Amino acid sequence: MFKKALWFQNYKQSRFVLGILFVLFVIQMPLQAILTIETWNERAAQADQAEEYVYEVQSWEVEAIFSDDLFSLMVSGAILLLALVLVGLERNTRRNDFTFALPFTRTQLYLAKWLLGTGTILLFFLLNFFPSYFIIQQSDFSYALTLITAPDIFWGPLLGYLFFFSFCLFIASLTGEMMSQTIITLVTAFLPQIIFTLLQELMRVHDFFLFTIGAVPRWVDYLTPGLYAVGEMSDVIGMSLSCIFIGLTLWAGIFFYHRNRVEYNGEFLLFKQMTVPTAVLLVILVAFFGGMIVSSLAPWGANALRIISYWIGFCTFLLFALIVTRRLLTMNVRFFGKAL
Amino acid sequence: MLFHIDTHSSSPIYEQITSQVKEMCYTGLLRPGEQLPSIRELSSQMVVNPNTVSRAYAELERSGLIVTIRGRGTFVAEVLPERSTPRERARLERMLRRQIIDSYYGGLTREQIRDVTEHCLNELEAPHDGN
Amino acid sequence: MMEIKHVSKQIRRVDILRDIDFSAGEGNIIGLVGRNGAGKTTLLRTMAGILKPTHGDVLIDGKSIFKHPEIKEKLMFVPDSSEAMKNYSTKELVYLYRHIYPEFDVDHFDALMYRFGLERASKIGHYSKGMSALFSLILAFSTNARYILLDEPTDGLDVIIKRQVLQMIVEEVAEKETSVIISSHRLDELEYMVNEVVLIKDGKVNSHYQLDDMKKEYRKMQAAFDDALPEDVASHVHILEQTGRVYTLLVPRSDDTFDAALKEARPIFYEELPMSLEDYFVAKLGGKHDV
Repeated sequence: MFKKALWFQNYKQSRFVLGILFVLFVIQMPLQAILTIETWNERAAQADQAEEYVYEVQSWEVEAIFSDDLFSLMVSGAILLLALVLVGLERNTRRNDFTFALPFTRTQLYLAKWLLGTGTILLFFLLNFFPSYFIIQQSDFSYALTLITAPDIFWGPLLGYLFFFSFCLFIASLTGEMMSQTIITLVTAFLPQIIFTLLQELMRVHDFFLFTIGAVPRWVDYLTPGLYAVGEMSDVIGMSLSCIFIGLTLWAGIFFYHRNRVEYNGEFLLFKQMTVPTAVLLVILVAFFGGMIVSSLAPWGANALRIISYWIGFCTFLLFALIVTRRLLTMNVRFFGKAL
Repeated sequence: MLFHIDTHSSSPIYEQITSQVKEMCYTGLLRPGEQLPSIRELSSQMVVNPNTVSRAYAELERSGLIVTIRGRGTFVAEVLPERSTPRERARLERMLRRQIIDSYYGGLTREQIRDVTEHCLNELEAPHDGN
Repeated sequence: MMEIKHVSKQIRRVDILRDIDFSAGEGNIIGLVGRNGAGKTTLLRTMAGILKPTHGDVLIDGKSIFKHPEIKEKLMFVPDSSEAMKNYSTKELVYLYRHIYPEFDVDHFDALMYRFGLERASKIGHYSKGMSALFSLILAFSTNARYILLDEPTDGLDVIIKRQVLQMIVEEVAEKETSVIISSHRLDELEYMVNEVVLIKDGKVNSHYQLDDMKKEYRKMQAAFDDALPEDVASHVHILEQTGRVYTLLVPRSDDTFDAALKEARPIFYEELPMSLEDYFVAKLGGKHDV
């Protein structure tokens, strides 16, 4: 499980992305902490000049240093990139043959990748979290730390990142190459949200409601892996689910990595029985998305026109999706000199 | 020492090696006690399977032409064995006859056949200076 | 002993390999021969445990390489391109392989590098094609793996490098009890190197021969007839080539009745020719071209 060779191989393959990840963490936490404190100082100075106004730091401003901002999104991007270079890149090139010819079980191979990812995320997070925390504590605004809790800034984001990586790697065990890995990871990362939004829009246009619409229910959030990475899951349920999902995705990843049909490397999905359902799902989503987009162009008052434009958009996007999917399904990224 | 594979011969490689070693021994190109290349060297030089070379050496050893001393290498025997058995000689004679018949009907004159034979024998019996 | 046990492989419901069954003892050089697309690379990748067979198994010393991948420490697969290692430096690869193969011999590696005049590189990708072919082999033989699988090791190399590559293989086999399994569509190169040939046609083992036996099994004849090749003769032989009246034939030695049939047919002339592996291949696999 802790084979030196595998560590080295995976590190060599991913060190560029690991570098990016580290830099992003540095920017997100210590650097942002310093800059935010500067901002607070400035605002406090301004507030001093105004009478009867004392500047107070808000809790969300503190949270934004540790998660829940643009940088969490970029870190999530880097995490997806990490999963791409660890698995997808191997599938696009001859490296997969090299890896699978090694005298290790596929569980060992998968675990080495999983451990490298989770290990570095954990390490980078800790390396940046504590200095940032210290910086704030040493500043004039140390009281800011009382506004938030450990789950808000530590456990929630950390578990979220770990789960998101585990999730990306699990998707990688199903897909045949980098492009499909990216597409499918992104779509499934937000699938519940996407489906919910599309359904809502469908109902709104047709003025026909199966359930009352409004804000996305929390349980849909809980099922959306993408939200874990941006630090939305700092409540007890969210954190417990993170832990459960980490275990689940790890187990499923190993399960599918074992059954990998490597001969389909370079194609959309490695498991042919999943191809058709996935394709159908993608086509339907794109079609409904088309309906949503085109109907939004119609004026608000004209109901009939909106319904018509919805279905025009639906049909055009359906056609478009069908063509693209057909190409995707017959795709085989032939890498140099590939032979059966 | 140069061995070569005759791609136009229908005899197997190990036979080609044994006959070339035999030839070199009897013509004096290889002297008694002289060291032969190792299996590794010879197979590398000829780019042939080591098993083939080893089979050829085993055959030569069995016929007493060479001896292998463990850890030191393979050497030409100090005393060369009789060239061939009577049966072998009979076979060679048959082959020679057939060759002569073929050559005669193939258009070579009696003189030409004799010349070639003489020439060949002279070459074999000429004293070698050892290089 | 490495055994390939009734291996079949279907890809996209097409049979790529069908019931492949043979074994490789130690100290052998085995040629895996077949036309392009016969399934040689698929077979090698299955033997390396990269692809899982649809049916059958691959065993080393009686242990399945799929159930016990650690047994692959005795196995090394060298693909036909060094693409996978191009970003590594020489030093990094030695480090990597030392930790994969417990018997990796660094001294032997250095000696081979010196012998074949290879400089250490900061990136294997900087080596020329010939150099990286040599390097892949040096690395493979330094692992001290007992079974080495080479996929088209001489493809696209110039004559000099090709000879060096073949020499290295022969020497390593002579020195250790390594077994080398070479896939190739170039028979002429392998002819004298291999002692066993596994012929693959349409994903099946067409025949498995000890090379010396093979020469004993067939003879090659050239004969010319007044008219076309008589039926009586044709039924006994494989026709390798025909130029005008002259036929080149492959005749099984076991066929006692051939000589009589030939005499009966009154050829204008006939003679026996030396036989090469290639003749055999052409006869067994059919098609002179695109071999």
